[in-house]
Amino acid sequence: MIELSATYYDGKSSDGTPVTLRFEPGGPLRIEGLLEPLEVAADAVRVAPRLGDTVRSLRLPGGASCEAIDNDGVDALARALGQGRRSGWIHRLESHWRFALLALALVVAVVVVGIQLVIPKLAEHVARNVPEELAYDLGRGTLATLDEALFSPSQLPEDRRAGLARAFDGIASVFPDLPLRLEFRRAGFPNAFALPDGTVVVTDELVTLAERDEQVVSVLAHEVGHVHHRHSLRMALESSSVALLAGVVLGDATQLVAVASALPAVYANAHYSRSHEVEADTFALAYMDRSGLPRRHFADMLEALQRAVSGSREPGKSYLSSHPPTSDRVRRFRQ
Amino acid sequence: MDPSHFHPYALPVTAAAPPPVYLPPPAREVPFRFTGNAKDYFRIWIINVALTLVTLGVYSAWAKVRTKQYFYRNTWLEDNSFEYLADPIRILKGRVIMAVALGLLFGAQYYSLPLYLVLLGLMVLATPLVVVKSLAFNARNSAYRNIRFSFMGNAGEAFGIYLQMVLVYAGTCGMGYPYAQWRLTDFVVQRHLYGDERFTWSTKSHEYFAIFLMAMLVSVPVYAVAVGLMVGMTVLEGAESEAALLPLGLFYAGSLVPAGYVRAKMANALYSGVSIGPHRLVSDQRPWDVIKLYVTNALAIIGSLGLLVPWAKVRLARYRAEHLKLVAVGPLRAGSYDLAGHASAVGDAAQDLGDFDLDVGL
Repeated sequence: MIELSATYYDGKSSDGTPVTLRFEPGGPLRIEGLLEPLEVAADAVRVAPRLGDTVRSLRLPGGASCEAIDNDGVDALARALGQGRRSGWIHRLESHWRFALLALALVVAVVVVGIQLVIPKLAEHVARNVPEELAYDLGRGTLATLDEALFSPSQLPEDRRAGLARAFDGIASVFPDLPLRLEFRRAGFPNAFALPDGTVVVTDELVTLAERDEQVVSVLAHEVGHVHHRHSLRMALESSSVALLAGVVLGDATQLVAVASALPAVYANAHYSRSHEVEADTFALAYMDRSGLPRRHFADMLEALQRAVSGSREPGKSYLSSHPPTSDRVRRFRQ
Repeated sequence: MDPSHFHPYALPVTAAAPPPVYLPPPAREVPFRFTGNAKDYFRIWIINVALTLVTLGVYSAWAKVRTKQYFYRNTWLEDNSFEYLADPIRILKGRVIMAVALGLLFGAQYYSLPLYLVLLGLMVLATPLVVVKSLAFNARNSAYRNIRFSFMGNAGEAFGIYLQMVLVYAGTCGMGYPYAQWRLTDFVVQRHLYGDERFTWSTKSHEYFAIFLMAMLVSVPVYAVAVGLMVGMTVLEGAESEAALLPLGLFYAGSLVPAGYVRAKMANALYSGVSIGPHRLVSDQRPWDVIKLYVTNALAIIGSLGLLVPWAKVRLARYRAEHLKLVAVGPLRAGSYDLAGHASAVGDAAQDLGDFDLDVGL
C-alpha cells in the first residue's frame, strides 16, 4: 500500500483540496479527502517526469490533477503504477555530479573536435560536391557592389595589364573547369582577392608595388587557389555551423549576452580563414614549382606588402588574424 | 464589467442599517518567489546540451520543456508554483515545420529568384499567424493551480497590428518604435486569460516613449566613448589584433547600460499595468540593479567560457521574481475558461506550431 499527501485540483476552479492518495497494486488509485472518495483507474493516471526537486503533478482523466512535493513518494507511486521507467533515467543523469561532469567532458570534446576537425572536413566535403553552377553563383553581383562603393577603373598601362592577363590565362589553362576571370581596379591600397564566382581582382597599387610581374603572378596563383578550393563557400558553411553549435551550447543565453556567442564565432572564423590561406599558399607553391616560377617571388611580394601596409613592424601572432603571420608564410617560399 | 461583481464580501443588510455599502476586501501584497538554484540547474542544463548534441538536435524539444518546467516550477505565488505542460513531440513537430520552411526558402534562392520572392512573401505574411499560434501554445501549456492560461488573439487581428507597426515605423523613420512596441504589447497582454479571468493593461504609450527617450540620452555618451576608443585602437593596432577586442568589449559593456535600463523600465511598465480580474501586478525592478546584473552575467559567461550560463539565468529569474508582486483583492481564484461557456477555439488544433519565444518588451 502506497500513501501520499497531495493537493487535488479539479481543473474547473483554482481551489485546491488537501487529499491522501492510496494505491494498492492491482487496484485503482484512491483519492481521499474530497466530499466523496474518488477512484481512478491506474492506467489513466499520468505522473509528470521528475525534475530536480520541483513539485510534480499527477494528471487525472477529465482535466483534474494532484500536485505533490514528496518526490520520492511520487516516484514510488509511479513505479507501482508501472510508469516512469522511460523518463526516470533522465532525472538520474541530471541529479548526479559525475554524469554532469561526463556530459561537460562530452560537450567540450564535441565543441573542440567539431570546430577543429568535423566542421572544416564536412564543409570541404559539401563545398566540393556542390554543383558548379551553384558554387560559382554565390558571388554574383559582389564586384558591382564593390565598384560602386570602393573601386575606380584601373589606370595601369595597357601593356602591363595585357602581360598579366596573359600570365593569368596561363594559370587558367591548367584549370579549365574553373570559370576564372581577371579584373584590374584602382582601390587606394595594394590587395588582391578572389570572388566565389572565379573573378580575381587585383588592385593597381599591388601591381605598382611589385618589382616584377612574376611577383604579381604568384599572388594570382594564390588567389586561384582560393577559387579552386571554394574557400568562400566553405567559409560560409563553416561560420554558419559554428553559429549553430554556439546556439545549441549557449541556448537562449545568446540573447542574454550577444557577445558571448559572437566571440567564439570570431575566433573560429579567424582560425578557418588562416587555414584557407595556408591551403592557397600551398596551391601557389605547387603551381610555381610546376611552371618553373621561382618561389622567392611570392615571398618578395609578401614582404613588400607587409612593408607597405604596416612599415617594418611585424604584428604579433594573434588568434584573431585572418592570415598566418607573414614571416611564417615567407619561410615556406624561401626554402 | 461591473467591478462589484468581483467583491464576494458585502456587508449584511439589516432593517436598521444604513443603505448597503459594498466594502472591497482589503488589498494584500502577494510576492512572487523563485526557488531554483544554479547547482541543480547546471546539471539539468549540461545534460540538456549533451543530449541535444548527441541526438543531433532532436532532444532539443525535450530540453526546452525541461528547462521551461524547471523555471516555472520554481516560480511561486502563494503556496503554488507554475506548471509547464507542453508535449515535447509537438514542439519537435513545430521545429521540424520551421526548419523545412526555412530550408525551402534557402534552397529556393538558388533555384529561382521569383519562387524565392514568392516564398519569402508568404513567410512574411504568415508571421502574424505563427506568432499568434505560438502565443496560444505557450499560454495553453502554462498553468497555475491546474487552471490554464490562454491567448485569444487571432491571426487577422495580429496581421492588422503588424501592418500598423510597419506603417508607424516607416512613416516616422523609426521614431515611432516605442508606439509600435506598445501597440503589440497591448494586443498580446489584453488577449490573455488566466482561466476565465481576463488580462487588462493600463500602461500608456507615452510611458514607453519616455523610457526610450531616456535610453537614448543614456546611450549617446556611452556609445560615443566606445566608438571613439574603437576607432582609435583600430588605427593604432590594426583591426585583427587582440588589442582591438578591448574597445569592442567596452562597446558591448557600454551597450549593456542602456539595455539594462530599458529592460528594467520596460519590465516595470509592462507588468505594473497588468490586471488579472480584480488583482494587479506590480514590478519594481531598479535599472542600476539590472545593469549590474547584466554586466556581471556577461563577464561571468565570457570568463567561464559559457559554464556560468545556468548561474546567470537563475540569478536573472530570481531578480525578476523578487521584484514582482501581485496586489490581490480577495482570494486568488479563477474558473476554467472552457466552463464559462466559451467555445474552446484555442484548441489542440492550434498547438502544432509550438515554440517561438516572443519576449514582448523584455
